[in-house]
Amino acid sequence: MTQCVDGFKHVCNSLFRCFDLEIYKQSGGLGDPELLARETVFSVSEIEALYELFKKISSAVIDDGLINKEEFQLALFKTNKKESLFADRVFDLFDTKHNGILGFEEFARALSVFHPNAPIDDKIDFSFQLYDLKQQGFIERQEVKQMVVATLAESGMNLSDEVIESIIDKTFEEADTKHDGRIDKEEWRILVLRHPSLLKNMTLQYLKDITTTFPSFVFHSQVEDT
Amino acid sequence: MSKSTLTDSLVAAAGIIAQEVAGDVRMTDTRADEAERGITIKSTGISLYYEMTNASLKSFTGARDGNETPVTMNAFELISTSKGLNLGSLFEKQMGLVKRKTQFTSKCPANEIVTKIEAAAGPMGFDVKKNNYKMKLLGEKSGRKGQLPVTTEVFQVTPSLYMVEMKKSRGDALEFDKFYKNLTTGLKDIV
Repeated sequence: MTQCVDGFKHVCNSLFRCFDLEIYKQSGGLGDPELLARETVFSVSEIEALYELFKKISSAVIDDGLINKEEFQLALFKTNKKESLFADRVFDLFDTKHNGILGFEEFARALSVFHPNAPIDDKIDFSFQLYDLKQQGFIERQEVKQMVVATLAESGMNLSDEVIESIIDKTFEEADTKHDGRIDKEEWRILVLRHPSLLKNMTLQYLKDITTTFPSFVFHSQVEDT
Repeated sequence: MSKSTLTDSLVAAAGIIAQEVAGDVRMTDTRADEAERGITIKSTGISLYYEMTNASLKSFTGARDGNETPVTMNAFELISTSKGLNLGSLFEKQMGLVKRKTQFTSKCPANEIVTKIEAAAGPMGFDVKKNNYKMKLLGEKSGRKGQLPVTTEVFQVTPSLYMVEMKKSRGDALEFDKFYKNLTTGLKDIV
């Protein structure tokens, strides 16, 4: 009699474990690291290390294997009370499924652009979309002003409206070669190639050392031992 | 056209000799005996002055002699300093790391900022090398990871507001943090 119950328990346990795995994958588990490695500049071990970081960030508020806006702000600013125009833009660009949360795949694909080895065209595209606040395909003067004002407010710098206008004037003078009051993709590309420092925040050196700073344990590894 | 005549024309275009005599003069070497023998130069150094039009001057990004002001930040450079756009903190926070780069603003004139940094870093055991408004500070003491090199650059946001950026290229992050904290106490009056 007891043997029967044990056997039944055993079957149930295995079933539950299977079921858990399914849920785990759907709600934002590691997924397929080899696929991600193929489609990003990361290696399989870098993907696994990145996943360690992802787990830390995504469990900060709700431990559901997903990063919501609050957890993202927390990771970026050490406080979740900080509303930031820029954090919003970055989050939106990461959130390619547009469902308000970041799964690991979205996280890894977006961060791939920031790797030192990522193609510069990807960085140029990403940064253009970042600054194109209304996503109309142009960076308008008004959008630049909004961003400058937000940056100054964040850092506590106080500049008069006149001064801000003149900074933007000078920038547009150089960037807006077609003189239509806005910067399109091409003009952005030319500007950035002339001033590579404009892309400096599009590269995270940390990504190169990620396997040493986030070692993932051997038994997590899905790389097969042959 | 022979090469001597070409040289003459170039020099004429630079306004050093009259156009009419180009071709007759035949630039010779500076040595008098060579000039006598009519030997024209194969090569020698000569300065030709060309006046840049205003348009080309605007787009000139190389070093300018006599332009002793720091690089002016354009709007996007300013925007890129905001914390929300520097995803490095995603890593720093999680890893408990100390920042590799930091910045502060000052209303002091740029050259004063540079002298003050020099004055503060010197006694801390740093060797300072200046190049316009970029400085390289090299820690003389060998720390855990060897000497600590720090690069500093002063940017102009407006003629009365400057931003100083400091970052370490190698070395221990904790030492950098210590260095920065010590430096800012020394710079309290300008930050």
